[in-house]
Amino acid sequence: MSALKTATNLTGHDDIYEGLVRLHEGLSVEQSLRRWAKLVLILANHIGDRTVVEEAIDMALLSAMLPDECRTILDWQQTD
Amino acid sequence: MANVQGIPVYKEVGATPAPTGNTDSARVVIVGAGPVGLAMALDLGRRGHAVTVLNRLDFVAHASKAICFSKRSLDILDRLGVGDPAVEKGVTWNVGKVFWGNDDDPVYQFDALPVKGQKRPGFINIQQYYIEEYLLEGCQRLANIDIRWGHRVDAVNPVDDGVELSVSTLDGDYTLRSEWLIACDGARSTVREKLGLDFEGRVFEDNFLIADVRMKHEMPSERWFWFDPPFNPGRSALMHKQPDDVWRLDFQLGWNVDREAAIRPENVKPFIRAMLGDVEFEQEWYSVYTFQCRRMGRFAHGRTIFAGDSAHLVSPFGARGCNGGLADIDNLGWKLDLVLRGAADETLIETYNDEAIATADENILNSTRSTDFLTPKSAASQALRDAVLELARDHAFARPFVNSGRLSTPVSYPASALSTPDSDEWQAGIGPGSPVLDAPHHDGWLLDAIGDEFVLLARGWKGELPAGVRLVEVQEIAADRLGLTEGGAYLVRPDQYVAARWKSPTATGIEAALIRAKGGSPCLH
Ligand SMILES: Cc1cc2nc3c(=O)[nH]c(=O)nc-3n(C[C@H](O)[C@H](O)[C@H](O)COP(=O)(O)OP(=O)(O)OC[C@H]3O[C@@H](n4cnc5c(N)ncnc54)[C@H](O)[C@@H]3O)c2cc1C
Repeated sequence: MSALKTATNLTGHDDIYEGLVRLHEGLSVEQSLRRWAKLVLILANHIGDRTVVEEAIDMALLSAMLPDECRTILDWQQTD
Repeated sequence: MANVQGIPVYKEVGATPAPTGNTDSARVVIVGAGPVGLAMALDLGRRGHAVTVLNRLDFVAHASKAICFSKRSLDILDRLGVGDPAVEKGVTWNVGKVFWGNDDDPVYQFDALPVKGQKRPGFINIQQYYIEEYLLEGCQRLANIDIRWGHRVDAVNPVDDGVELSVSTLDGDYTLRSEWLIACDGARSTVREKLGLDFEGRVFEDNFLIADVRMKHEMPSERWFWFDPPFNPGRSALMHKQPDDVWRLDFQLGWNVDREAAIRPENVKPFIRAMLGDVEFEQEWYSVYTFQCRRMGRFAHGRTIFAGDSAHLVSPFGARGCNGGLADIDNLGWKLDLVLRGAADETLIETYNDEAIATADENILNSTRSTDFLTPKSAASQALRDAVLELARDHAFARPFVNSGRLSTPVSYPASALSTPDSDEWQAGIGPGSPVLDAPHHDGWLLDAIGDEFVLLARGWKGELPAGVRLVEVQEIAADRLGLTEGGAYLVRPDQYVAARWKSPTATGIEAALIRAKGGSPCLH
């Protein structure tokens, strides 16, 4: 079973979304990247469970891929 | 062969005459008298074997190479009888500090010896040529070690039950036939090349200026590392104290630089001035390095075995090169000894291949990660790195992400075929496939008491031991570190790794674990 919660688990989505946009106001792309990274590090530490963090990384990776690419990665992980 | 390349000399030895006649034979030949080849020779020599070492140069070179020798390497040097001079000469250190920008307070710091009460410190800094000298002196005390200086291997031919080498010397060439060949001939290994073997990996697109300088300077003996210091903006720097008032200063330069120009004194000076102000210093050695992480697919090829830089290369942030090479010979020495004495099957060497590759992979993984932190490969990884540093300044939780090099520690082999898995529940202690942790033991130290043979570390255990196993009774802190309760015992390999452990062992259990630790050979003595 997956350790990462993927069902809806929050309220106030529009507020949170707005907060994430505001995080980058007036920043260059480089500064923005750094701020994203900070946020991720803060959240990862809060989660405190490397399996959850690793599953989240995988999910982010897979969601950006075409279905074929996904399957290759999943096959590869299973043989690992 | 003599010094045609103008390599600086630390210690002249002089060429060894070629053997009379144009053929010769030996049981074990080691190619290369670098730290790894010499340590291999000393280990086998101390175990009573006749070893022949061939070295291209006829002197010990005065180069700027390894300086950080780990606790585990010191334990190995102790086992080889040359730990004391190294520690007496070396600069002992345990603490590493990482600075960012012009802040005087470190963003991160670590202790390389988290468990105190061990004979050796986390690290010493000492020029590699001193280590080579001490190993050489150890070898020279043994009549069964024959080091041939100025003998270069030019060709390698595997033959039945051994290898045939073509060797050239100033006064003629000869053929040397050997039952076993250990290739310790460094990163550009002739043996590897002549056998057409692979050496895969990656090169990091970065250059580092290493300036070894002689000067009077006060600083605690610690490893100091900077990200983005004012004296090398946007890049990193490292400072280490060595014996003889020599300091290693290391400046990240970036990829597109003129390497020859970078080491000209007039170009190095501004770096040093910017870092240390108006100090008096003398140039010891300037060089520019590009780093690589590579390894061979296999380290054992029949009767030809690779160890040290010939088998694997790492980037130096983490000091895993020479320390990794010494781990190789530590693993191989006792195994080859058993095979040469007919006390174990040749297949035991296959476990060297497995365990040394596990070590190399862990070293490569760690040094690759450090290098990626130091030299981010994309805008996003640069942002991530900088985010870690920014957070680390104010928040302790971010500090463990700071990676300026994860320093060399011994590697465990949890899956080793030589280990007997635990049959009891253990809450503490050292698992099979890991090295014994040192501890005070009577008036001395536990690792010294273990030495270099199979031992049973026991707490109040009475029983009959299999032949070839020595009993070492442990109490108090040593027993506590092993998690040993009354009646329990550990079987320890000659490289001080745990083979098996029991809460209340039986003689047959110990015997079975011993057979397994020797590769399951039926021909036990
Ligand atoms: C700048 C720098 C800093 C480093 N810092 C550290 C550190 O702090 N800690 C650490 O652990 N490691 C460090 N290393 C790595 C370390 O120097 C090497 O891992 C180490 O030298 C490897 O030893 P070796 O015996 O395997 O090979 P080498 O030292 O390269 O020795 C090989 C020997 O083989 C001989 N040889 C070669 N070809 C032939 C031939 N055809 N016939 C006969 N003889 C031959 C050579 O003459 C040489 O003597 C550093 C390296 C560099 C470059």
